[in-house]
Amino acid sequence: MPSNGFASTFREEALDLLASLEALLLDLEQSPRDRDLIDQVFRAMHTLKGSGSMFGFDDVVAVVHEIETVFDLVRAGRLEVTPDLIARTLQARDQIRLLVDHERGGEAPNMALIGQLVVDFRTMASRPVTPRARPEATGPAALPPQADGEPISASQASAEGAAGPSPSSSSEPTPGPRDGAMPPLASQASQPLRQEAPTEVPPSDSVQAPAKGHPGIDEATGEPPRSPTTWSIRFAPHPGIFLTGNNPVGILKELAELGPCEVRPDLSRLPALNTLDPESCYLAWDILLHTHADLNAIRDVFLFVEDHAQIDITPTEAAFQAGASRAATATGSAASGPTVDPRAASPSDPPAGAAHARANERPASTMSPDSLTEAARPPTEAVSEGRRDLRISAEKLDRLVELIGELVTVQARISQVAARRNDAELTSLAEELERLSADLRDRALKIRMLPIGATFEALRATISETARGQGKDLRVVMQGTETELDKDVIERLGAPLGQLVRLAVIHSLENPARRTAGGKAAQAMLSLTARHFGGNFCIEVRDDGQGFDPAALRARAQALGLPLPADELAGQELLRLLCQPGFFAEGGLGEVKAVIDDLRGTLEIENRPGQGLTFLLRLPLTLAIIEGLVVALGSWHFVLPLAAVEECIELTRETEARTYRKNVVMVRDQIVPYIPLREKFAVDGQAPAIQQIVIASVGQHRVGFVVDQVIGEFQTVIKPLGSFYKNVKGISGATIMGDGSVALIIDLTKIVQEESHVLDLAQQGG
Amino acid sequence: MATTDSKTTNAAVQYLTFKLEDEVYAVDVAKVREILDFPPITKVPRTPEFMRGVINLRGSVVPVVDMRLKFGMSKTEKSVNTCIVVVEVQLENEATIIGALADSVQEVIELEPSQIEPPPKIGSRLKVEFLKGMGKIGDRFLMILDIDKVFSSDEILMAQDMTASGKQLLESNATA
Repeated sequence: MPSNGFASTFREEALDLLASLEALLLDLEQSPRDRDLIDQVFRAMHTLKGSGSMFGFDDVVAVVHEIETVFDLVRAGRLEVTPDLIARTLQARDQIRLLVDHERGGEAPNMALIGQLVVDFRTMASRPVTPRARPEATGPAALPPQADGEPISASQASAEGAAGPSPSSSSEPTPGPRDGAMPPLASQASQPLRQEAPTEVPPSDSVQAPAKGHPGIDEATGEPPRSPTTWSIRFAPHPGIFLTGNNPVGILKELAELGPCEVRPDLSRLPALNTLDPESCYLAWDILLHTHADLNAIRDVFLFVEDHAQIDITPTEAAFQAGASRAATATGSAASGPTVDPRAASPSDPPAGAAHARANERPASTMSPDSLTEAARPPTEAVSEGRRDLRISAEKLDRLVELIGELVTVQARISQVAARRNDAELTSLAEELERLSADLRDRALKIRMLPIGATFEALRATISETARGQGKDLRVVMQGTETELDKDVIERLGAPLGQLVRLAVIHSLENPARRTAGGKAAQAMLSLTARHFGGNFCIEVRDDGQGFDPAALRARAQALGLPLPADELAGQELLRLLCQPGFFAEGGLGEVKAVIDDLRGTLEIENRPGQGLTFLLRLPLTLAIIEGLVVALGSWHFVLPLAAVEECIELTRETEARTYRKNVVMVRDQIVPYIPLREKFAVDGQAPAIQQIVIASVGQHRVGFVVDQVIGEFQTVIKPLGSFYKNVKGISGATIMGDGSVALIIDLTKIVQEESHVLDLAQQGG
Repeated sequence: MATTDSKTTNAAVQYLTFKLEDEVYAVDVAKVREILDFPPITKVPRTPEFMRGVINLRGSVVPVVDMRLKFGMSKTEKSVNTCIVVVEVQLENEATIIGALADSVQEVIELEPSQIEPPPKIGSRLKVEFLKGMGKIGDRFLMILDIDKVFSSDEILMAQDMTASGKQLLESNATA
């Protein structure tokens, strides 16, 4: 039993849910009366509980159950959303996350705290206020009066109305006694539905699934009656669904528990017997479900197959062929008509149970016009109709991008060959290939791009927690949350950003009293801004606090015995100081810097004493591919990251001689220091009479890099040099060129760091 | 293909033999991935001379080491027989692919444990720890390399030192 696979699916989903839950709760803290938010929190809890218990995460379920109960009361207006509730729920959320994650080697959850939280939630749930809020429920006005202690359904109904497509019933006045609803439907159904052609079809060819969720049973369980809706459901599993351990029959059975349902297999995909793969699922099902359950409840049934099937759920006006009256005829026709058992295509199924459907090969024959068109539509079209998200393992994606990288390399070689051959046909093919592979590459890279928003949202908790601990009041402003960045980068940014905001809140922001005294608004402001800028992804963490006090920094440096820069503490000097281990009690900037360096990014700081602090992070958009400028040095080819390159100018012997040993040039009235790479890399032979200086912006500097020749732009896949060369400085990786040779990618930042004396020289010269 | 583990004492182990200058060396076949012709090599600046550079091995970048330079002989010159023995070694507990430049590849032979003698303590040009033993076939001797030790992390440290000395080189160049 591949329960591990299930468990990991659950973990993934649970972690997603918990992540969104955090944002929801923080929003809810801002607007505690937002029904929609309350409902969303409740639903998240509900889903967690449901799937958690399916996979035996009993400890998770135990906690979630208590929270769900409390939010259930909140939904009913019998409890208020208080800051205390939010705080506790957030705490609980953190612990649940640990519960879910710690088996994978995460931090261990605090069981004592969990126990306390469970008690707290129980206490809260035990003293609800009187349900004065019921009229607030915007649900169907026609809801019959409810018994006390059943506040759920009102809000459920309203939630249903607010979410998803409005069920037809919620806008119609509901007839009084629930039992009355079935007979009219049944009688309606008994009238033969006429479609154009298939009049010869037996009146019925489907078996009525036993309806465990029949309204009558609802009464028995005390569930208050709600107007049932008929849903048209298209369930088309992907052929590989059996490989995921899911069994469609189980799903159909579960659906049948929601209410009477009519299931018809769609056999159109069924191949001839000799080509049939017994481990593939060729069937799809069209289901009419008549139920009291809302859309979410139906969706829950499909929870674990939604990535492996096409699922369309729409409310329908279709006549529902309900009632036992049809069952008899159905059995009859099943025996006589051309029937196919769904199991025929899925021998791996366990014996089908009550809900398994038998049907004729003309599935649409007795269906409503709606469902007819539904069934007649080609499956592909139906897929594109609903926007659906797929969960793809990162590994698969990485392999895809890797392959595309190699494809791009081969394509570049073909383009070179084509250019050499001067063959018009080959050239046009090469161009076509170039266009296609560029498009393919862009799209593949797009898949890896995620908006930074979720990372920002996650920071909100860190910020408010830190601020609360420090007695500081602040508002957080986020901009550019939709800006996209490579997922690898995003995953690694959380911790460094958390550290930056923590430092800002603790060291830069003042408490309200001090702010007012200083003539500032009592509430401090912390802004997180993301944007694309010049081939880079930039994140700015900015606050309007007091920044770092230079005197205090000096005192701290002295206490630690660190060498102090003579002049003003700013820019890289300041950053270097702050990066010293132990500089801050909360952990320094060192780790932040290390992660950012590792991502080929840069970190800058702007300290405005008395006015605030700004951190600026610049990161490459993707780690896998860079736009490069290919240059030649002797027989070598090197690649410079194009994003950094500003311009190229010539360096003649005369200029070189004039600025002898100074290594600076004037570029439009600005002095730019340059680094001769020929010397730097000890290249053999003579430099050509006219060399090229590639001017690039590195950190805050403009620096020139002298090369023999600039060859051109080249899009390259970065290949690591491997551990054998890991200590080589000034080279960040390698790439395969069009001719199959290897070119090295120059790490401009490292080179400039090594040559910082050149920069000093330039500054003195200027 | 040798599936035998070189550590089991009684079974015969297959070795690939290759020549550096006139001496014959052997390496456990299980460590060898493939043998390549001499491809164009891209030198990585500021690395020791024995690290000849990197090659493109079907889209992967693989470092190449000049075994002659590494063992204190002269630099390998390209000839029709020159080739690269691609080996998989453990470098700091990480499987790493490295190409070893050899003058020529000879054959694959099988040696019984009884045919292997411990390495001599003196008289070898090689560091003793690079050797697993001396194989004896008739009156010929071949040196069996412990390839993991040959490419140990000390060698990477050397590369780092070289980076520092490259800077000095640059400065001396500049004054010249």
